[in-house]
Amino acid sequence: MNVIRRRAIVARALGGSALAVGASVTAFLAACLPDTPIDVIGRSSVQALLWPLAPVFLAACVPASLAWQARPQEQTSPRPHLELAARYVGLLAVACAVVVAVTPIDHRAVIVRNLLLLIGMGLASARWLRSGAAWVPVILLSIITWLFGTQLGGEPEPWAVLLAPRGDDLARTASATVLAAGVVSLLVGIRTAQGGDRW
Amino acid sequence: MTAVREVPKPGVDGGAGSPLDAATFGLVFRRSGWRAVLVLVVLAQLAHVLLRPRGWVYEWRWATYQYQFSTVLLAPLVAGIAAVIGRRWSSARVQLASSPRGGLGLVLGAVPVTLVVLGAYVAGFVVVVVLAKGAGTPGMPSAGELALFGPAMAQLIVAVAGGYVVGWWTRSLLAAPLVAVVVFAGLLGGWVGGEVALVKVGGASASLVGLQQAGSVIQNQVVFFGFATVAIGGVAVARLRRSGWAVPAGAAVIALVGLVPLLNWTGEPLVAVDEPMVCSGESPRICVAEPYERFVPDLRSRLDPMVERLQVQGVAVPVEVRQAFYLGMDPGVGAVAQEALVSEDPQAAEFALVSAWLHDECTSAEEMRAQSQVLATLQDSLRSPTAAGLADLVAALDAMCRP
Repeated sequence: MNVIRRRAIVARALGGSALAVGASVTAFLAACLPDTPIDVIGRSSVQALLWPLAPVFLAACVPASLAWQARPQEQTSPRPHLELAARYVGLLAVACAVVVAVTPIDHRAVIVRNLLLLIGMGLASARWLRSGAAWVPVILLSIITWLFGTQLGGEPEPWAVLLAPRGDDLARTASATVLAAGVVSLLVGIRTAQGGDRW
Repeated sequence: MTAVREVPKPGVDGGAGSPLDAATFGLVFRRSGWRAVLVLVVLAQLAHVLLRPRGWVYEWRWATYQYQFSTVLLAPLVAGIAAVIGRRWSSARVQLASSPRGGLGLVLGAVPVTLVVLGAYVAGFVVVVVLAKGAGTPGMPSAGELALFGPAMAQLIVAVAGGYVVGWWTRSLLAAPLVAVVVFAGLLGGWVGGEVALVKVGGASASLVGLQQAGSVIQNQVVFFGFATVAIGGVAVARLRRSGWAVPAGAAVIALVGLVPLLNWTGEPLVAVDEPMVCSGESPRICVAEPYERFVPDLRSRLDPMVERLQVQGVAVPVEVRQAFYLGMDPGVGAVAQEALVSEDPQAAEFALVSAWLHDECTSAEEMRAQSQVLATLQDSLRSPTAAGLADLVAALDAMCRP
């Protein structure tokens, strides 16, 4: 078996298929997003609110991509959980890079920040919620942000960190915190799946 | 030898029982995860009602129409939930495919979530009623206003059907987030892409005095969403049974009959309506829509000091102040916005008087800026009991942009 095929099998076993679908659909949706003003009554700058939510589908695929944790062969895998986590994070990084690559440069900083926050949320949801419900927080936060996250003048509400402008300290801190919580959840999840004996 | 008693098993073709007997349905319902669905739907509805501006509490038509806007949040959510249930139900695919009543069993899997969603949706309106009655709004919603629930509930049902069938077919964990995102993107696409009549079943950021949802749009939405649901479910059943394609084909054709007029509708799905106005008093006569009649005494008490100041300085006050609505106002008539009408702020009523001297002919940015400056000065002067020169300011404002 050649190296490329072996790596493809490993990538697929580690949820690569779900991440590939997530990245492809997200990239397609991002490519469809308008960057010019749209005439919508009462929401004159509506296009500015679409971009920050572009990463939502990739992040919502994260719980499904982590289903490999529950497989018997992974639970009895001799590989250390840190190695599994590192490989998975590598795949996730590739998926994120695909999405960022199709994003206009002006929006990239916000997209990356929101991608990290939503992926952190997806990682944490996958650990703490059942597989059927783990996608809900990511999707719900995005929809609620869209619906309730702006004030009458179009300014984002203080809690709507996904809509915060580039360089907003609160939004950056929120992203870093949620991502850290997600990574810890990932490590704990793998360790728990493997019986907790491989720290 | 031990005697074994045959116990009919509840199930889609369970034993001697009918597929829809109470035991079968009870079992399906209990195993549907309905409590989690109910909690999510209730939280979503409460968020929608409580987190958004609540100017609608004074007007049943606006309150009812705005409540239906919650489908923008609810439809993606319930579509994703239905996909999870469809995926779970697909584990019985082999049994259902070999059962003579397997099609009914397939449909049965989506019934609990549909009932819970619709029940919570209708029950959630109680919160709206409580808030409106708490704000002193007289009466209750009319039958015509409650008809707005038709398209909204039909939209939710088609979202459930679509999600359920995608989950059933794909058997993938990705089905739920994918369906939720696609439904949300579809709704947003309709809103920002100009196909508002196709996706919008409610939602207004201002009073609906003088407007109502077009009856033909309501009918076509119900036809389209309803028969699209039958078509989606029919395709799934026919694919399972490998027969019976006539039902989904026929339903799809009827759905198209509803779809075409919706695609051809331009702009907001609202039409003008003759609004009964209640008028009272003189100098000025105040005319408002019926639901707002109780605010007239307060408005008059706020207007009276300003009217007195104008009359003392020899300015003829507008003959009439009328509740502003979408279709515009007659020249020389003051316009009072819904927000100013229900507000207790005395300054909010100023515009009701000065708007009588504004003219639509000011169109260029320079003209509008000059008009705004005079308007602001006049409003400042009206607030001050000692201000002089009101007559000059009114004359200047009235003369602006005239040919």
